[in-house]
Amino acid sequence: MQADRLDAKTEDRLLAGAGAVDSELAGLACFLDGLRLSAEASPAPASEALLSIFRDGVLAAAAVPAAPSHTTRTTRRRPRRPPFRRLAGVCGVASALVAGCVSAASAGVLPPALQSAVGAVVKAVTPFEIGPARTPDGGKTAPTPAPASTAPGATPADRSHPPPAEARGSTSTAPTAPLRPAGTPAPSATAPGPAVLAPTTIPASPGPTASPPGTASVAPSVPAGGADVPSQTSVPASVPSPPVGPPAPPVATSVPTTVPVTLPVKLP
Amino acid sequence: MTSGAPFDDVLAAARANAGWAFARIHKIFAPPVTAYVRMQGLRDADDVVNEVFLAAFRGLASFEGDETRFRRWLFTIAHHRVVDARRAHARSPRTEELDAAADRAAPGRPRWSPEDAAVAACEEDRIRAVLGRLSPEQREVIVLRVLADLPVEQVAKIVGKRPGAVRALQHRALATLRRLLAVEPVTF
Repeated sequence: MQADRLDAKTEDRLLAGAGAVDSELAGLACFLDGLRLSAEASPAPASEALLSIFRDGVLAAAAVPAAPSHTTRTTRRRPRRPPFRRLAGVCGVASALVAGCVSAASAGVLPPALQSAVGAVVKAVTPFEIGPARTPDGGKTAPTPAPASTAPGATPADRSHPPPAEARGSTSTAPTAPLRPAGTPAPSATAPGPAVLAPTTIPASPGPTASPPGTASVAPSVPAGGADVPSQTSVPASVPSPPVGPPAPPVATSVPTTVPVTLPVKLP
Repeated sequence: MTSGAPFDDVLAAARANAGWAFARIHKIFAPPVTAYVRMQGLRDADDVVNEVFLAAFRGLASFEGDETRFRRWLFTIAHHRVVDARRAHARSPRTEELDAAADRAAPGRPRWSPEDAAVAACEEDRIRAVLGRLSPEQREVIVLRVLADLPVEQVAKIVGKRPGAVRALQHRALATLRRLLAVEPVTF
């Protein structure tokens, strides 16, 4: 019964607050009037941003930030990283770059200019040196043959004997080791010492007399006496040879070709 | 309309960035918008009202129409703000200030005595308590029909429903209110 009286027209009259309604709907009508009168209560006070708009308009008040409210969605700002963490990150990246450059330079894969620059820096700040860059064919730059050297007193017959096993093993091309302690003389076939033969031989072919660092190549030579020697001695520069002396066993052998020798030197 | 100048002139002046026009619009529509927001049972309803007018004034350049359309446009903004605030409140714990009603009734009405403000706040709280028994959709329809003085078709556009659905919500809301008021009579 009550629901039947609330037809569309009655509802519209109630909601509009116009016209008399039945006494049974007086309570509902009174409530809706109270709701309507609540719109005459004190309005919300204008915020600073609104007051600024009232004074200067929207365009001038655009620079005034609105008061923060709980309904304003704010993006969650990422907390800033501490300064020391950022510094540590920069130092780590720099260290990785330096290590990579030094490693590449020690491997000899850098361009010649960069190789020489890195080598100069390493030589300046460390007791080590970095060799030249590799040539495109895989070898070192300017591989100049060293003058031949033989042990003093070595006879052609002695040279015909095969070298010791350790010496033979060292004559093969070994992995390059361009990094060696600075100040140490570059191993050379002409350097005096027990590890090399005395420079009693004469280079058979004209050319540079200095051998590249870390290599010891022996060219065909002629004995001091001017006698013809059929072959040339090839001895690694840094491989210790047996003591040189009259009864010294033959340490040299006849090698028909010149073999570049590179010696690995371990870092301390 | 209660303003001195025709509302179309006020709207044109507001689009021309005249400060007095914004103040006039706020004076006309702040009471019903404030009542609409407060009846939703939101905390910080005044902040929501200020956000509604800020959004309306900043977007007024893109509005075209008369007073009726402006009213609907303004309450559409208010409806969206209320929905956002309701979602925000659902994610945060609810707290209620003890003297919120008295503080709310005090400013802006110097002609009201403190006793009047307190009585109005009490009446408003009682109305809000009764409306709180309705579902949010029913309450939304009733408040828009009464406070915004909008027909069913425009309320349907604001809440995003068909007019038939709005009429059904309105019918169920009035039936519920009638039943509630018969059990617990409220005098105003």
